Amino acid sequence: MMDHDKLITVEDITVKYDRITALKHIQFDIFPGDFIAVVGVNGSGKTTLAKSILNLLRIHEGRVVWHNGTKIGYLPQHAGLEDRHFPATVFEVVSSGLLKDKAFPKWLNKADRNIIFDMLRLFDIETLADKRIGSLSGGQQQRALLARSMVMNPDILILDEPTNALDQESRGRFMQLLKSLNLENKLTIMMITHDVASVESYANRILYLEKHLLFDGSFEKFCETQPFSPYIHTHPKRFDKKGETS
Amino acid sequence: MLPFSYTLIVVLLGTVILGGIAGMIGTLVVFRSQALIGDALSHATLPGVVIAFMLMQARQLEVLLVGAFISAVIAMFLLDVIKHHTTIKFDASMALILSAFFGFGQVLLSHIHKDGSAAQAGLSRFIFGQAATLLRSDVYLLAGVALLLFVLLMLFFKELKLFIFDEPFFVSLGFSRRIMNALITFMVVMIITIGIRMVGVILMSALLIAPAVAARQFSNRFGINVFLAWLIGGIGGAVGTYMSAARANMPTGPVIVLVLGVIVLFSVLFSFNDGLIKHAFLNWRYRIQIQKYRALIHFYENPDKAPMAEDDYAYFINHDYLRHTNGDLNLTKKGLKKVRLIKGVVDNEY
Repeated sequence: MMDHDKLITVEDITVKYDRITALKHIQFDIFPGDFIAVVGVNGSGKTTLAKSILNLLRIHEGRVVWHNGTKIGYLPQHAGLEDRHFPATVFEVVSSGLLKDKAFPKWLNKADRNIIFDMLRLFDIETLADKRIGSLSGGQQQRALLARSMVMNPDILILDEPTNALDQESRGRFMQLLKSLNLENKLTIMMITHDVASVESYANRILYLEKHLLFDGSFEKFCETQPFSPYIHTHPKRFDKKGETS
Repeated sequence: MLPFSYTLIVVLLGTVILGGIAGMIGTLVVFRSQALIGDALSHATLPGVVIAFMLMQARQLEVLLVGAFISAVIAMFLLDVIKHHTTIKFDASMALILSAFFGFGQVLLSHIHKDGSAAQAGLSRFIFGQAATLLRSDVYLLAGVALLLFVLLMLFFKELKLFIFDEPFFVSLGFSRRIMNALITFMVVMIITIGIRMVGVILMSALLIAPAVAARQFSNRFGINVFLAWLIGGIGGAVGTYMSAARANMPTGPVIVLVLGVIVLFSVLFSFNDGLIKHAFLNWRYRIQIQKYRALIHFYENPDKAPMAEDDYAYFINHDYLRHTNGDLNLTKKGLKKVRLIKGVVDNEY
């Protein structure tokens, strides 16, 4: 594929925290339309990889290239939920996604408000616009934060364990939402998760991380070639079932 | 009724300006969960004041305050070093810095005292503050700094709000964490520096924190919180100053802090947002309603199970909470609304 078809190129990066190496010689490309799931055990460098791509960390070797001004939306782990009583409404939170692109004095014009309300509608939280963000349920909060990342109209969305705090039902709905953004809005998605089974029917590409990049390919291929990865042990039932049906 | 003398007006202006701007900046600190940093930094200004006096042999306020500013910045730097290069917990390091700097300041103060330096009396006022001797020129200085801080706050308001709410996302937009931290630290140290002359290093942090805590009880919007904190800080300053002026030997700083304390107490009790009284009232009403509508709630939760005695439902049928349709007992719209209200069921929740 030609270079200009890529959104992001990760060129052989190594990242260290003090003396501990978090990532070793990671190399891959992100193409438009990808739905990537980054999987790995705790401490395998998943979040570090996301932060490296976002330029939030010092990269010791290699580099990350954003092609043609790729715009990245980011949904951090445990985003904004530390203080449940923080006085910010859903509308305020979503509008903060526009903060970077606006010129001083950064007042919202009518077009901005329309974009924000379109997003609120898309994520089915329009009626909650004036509610305090901390008063929402986990699923609603996560959708509000997703809306915040989406108002800037990003080319790629990076999500760090977005479904951790959600119950089973909300999790399914959230994943459906991501999938429809991926298919209908042609949004590229890179999602970090420790639960590979949860992305089975959504991701078209799995990156399996253990400081090194151990695997890069489809879910089916992942199950075939990585039978002894920690996942297979932690999800025996899931994979047994898969074996039966196929 | 106390006549408004020239001196009182000067002092009032000073404390109102200080209380207002300290309340605004304090909102940032409180929502960053860094209330203790304000306390540590204000205690840390003391040795700076004394050293500035010893080095420059000058009593001008500006000179002493530059010393205070530098001292607080050094303390902040040390806090940062401790945080990033040791395993000491952050609250422990704050307590450490606070007491070490304050103790050092006290040692230096008694050292000048031994020297017989006449200025000692002038310096010890920084410990508890002395608003009553405020000069017109002091108020000009205060107003200038307050204006600068206000402009900074307005210019970077949205950035500050997002930074405090969600730092990782803020940084992911391409903003600088370092600049934001520096801006907040600068504003906090500035407000402390100009405040210690009036309320003293020990009580200064109350001026930062109390208005923000009180304001929090009344609004769910960040901007309104900042505005209310400004208002409450200003009112606290005015009322405290007036009360202390009305009686002899009433220190202004402590009285202001006391007034703010009372405001906090009342706002925590009576807030219509989240107040203790409101909570108690809601709890009481909930208990009453549970008793009164017990049978209705039972019906809502177990529509298929054997009903309670028909007598239990008589009241609800009479008041149109329940109705017989096709021989079955059903909840009316009114009844459904009532039960959901009591149970706190919200639509569209997942």
